[in-house]
Amino acid sequence: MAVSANAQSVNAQQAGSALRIELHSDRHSDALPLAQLDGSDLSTLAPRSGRNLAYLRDEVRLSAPLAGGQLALLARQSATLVASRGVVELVAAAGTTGTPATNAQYDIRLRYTGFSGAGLAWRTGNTPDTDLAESSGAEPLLRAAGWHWQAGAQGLALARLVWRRVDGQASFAAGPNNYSFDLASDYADDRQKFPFQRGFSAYGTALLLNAQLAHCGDAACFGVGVRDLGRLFWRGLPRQEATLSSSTQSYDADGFVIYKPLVQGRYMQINVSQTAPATVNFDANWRVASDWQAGLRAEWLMDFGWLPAAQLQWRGMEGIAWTASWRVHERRLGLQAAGERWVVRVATDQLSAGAHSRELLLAWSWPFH
Amino acid sequence: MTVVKGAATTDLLYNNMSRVGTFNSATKLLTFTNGDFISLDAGT
Repeated sequence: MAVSANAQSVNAQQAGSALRIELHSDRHSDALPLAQLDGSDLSTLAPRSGRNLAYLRDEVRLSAPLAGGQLALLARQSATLVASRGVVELVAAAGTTGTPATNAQYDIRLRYTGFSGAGLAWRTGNTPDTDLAESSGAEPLLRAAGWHWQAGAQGLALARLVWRRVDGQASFAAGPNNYSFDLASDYADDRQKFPFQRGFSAYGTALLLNAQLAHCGDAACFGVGVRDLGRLFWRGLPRQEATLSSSTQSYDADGFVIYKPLVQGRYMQINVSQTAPATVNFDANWRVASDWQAGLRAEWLMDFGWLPAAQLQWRGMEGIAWTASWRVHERRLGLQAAGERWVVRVATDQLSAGAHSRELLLAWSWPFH
Repeated sequence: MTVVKGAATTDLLYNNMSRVGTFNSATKLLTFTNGDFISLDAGT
């Protein structure tokens, strides 16, 4: 009963209509401290084993109920970088000492996608007032029994679109003291300049879909969802495909030496359609005690893999829901306090300037009738 | 084939009329009008 009464009081914003503004910044970098992401000090570059992840997700959203759903005006920037350990080791070696101490082999695989833009988002469902994908309010982790679903879409005008794909091998030989490369690159950037470039569209567009489905019983909830499933478009976006190979000499069938270029490729401008970096989430939430609820999330990020997280929520204080969270890969501890009209969330992996992961969420609601 | 030098680039002309490519002395890239490019070391 105590949990039910508290849920009703802190969920008052869900009963009527409310204009909500939300500021959210979520940043993480495996190999570099966030303060060094400009690359000014590569001496702090420290790769993790396996794939190295870095992401930046900033969003400002103003939402209001409309026609049974939630309409939002939003501006966002999103960048995701997934690099193999070899990429980070090569950059660290070449960018600091210039050459490693011993022979080295580097497996190169890099995926980067970044975009920024503004537009509209629409969300509908049987609980449109709250985001099923995020505990960004005072709603309990364990929702009312039954099915809960949401579906939404974002249409953005893009001011910026960049992607880069690099695959191949690199190595360093200590004897001759030189690097060898055999790499293929695909690079698109709205700010790219190359000779004989034609005019192209001043902005791109993005169409992103979100969906969440959850089923709750009396003691537990299970849910699945997808976010940012969609495409990024830009007409005439400048793009470069290139290969870089240090094997510039070979022999033809008659034994004559032939020379090949170190770099070769092609510039092009086509109407590009790029897959957005989508995420899929699986959630399980359950009641631990009368005022305590816990949750587990497994989030799958395209090109990277699984990002697990855990939450613990305490609803014993009248009017405020407290939620602690732990993101396993980011090694980041978060704390959220949510009242009837406000939410504050802060999270970090360390309190010093060398933090690799930080999150800040601020939200405020103005009820109206 | 004729060569016309600019500040940092050198154009390649065919029959003194059609520009078929340009060479950037900073990047050492020779880019043709169809978008193909290769790296050169012209020693300049």
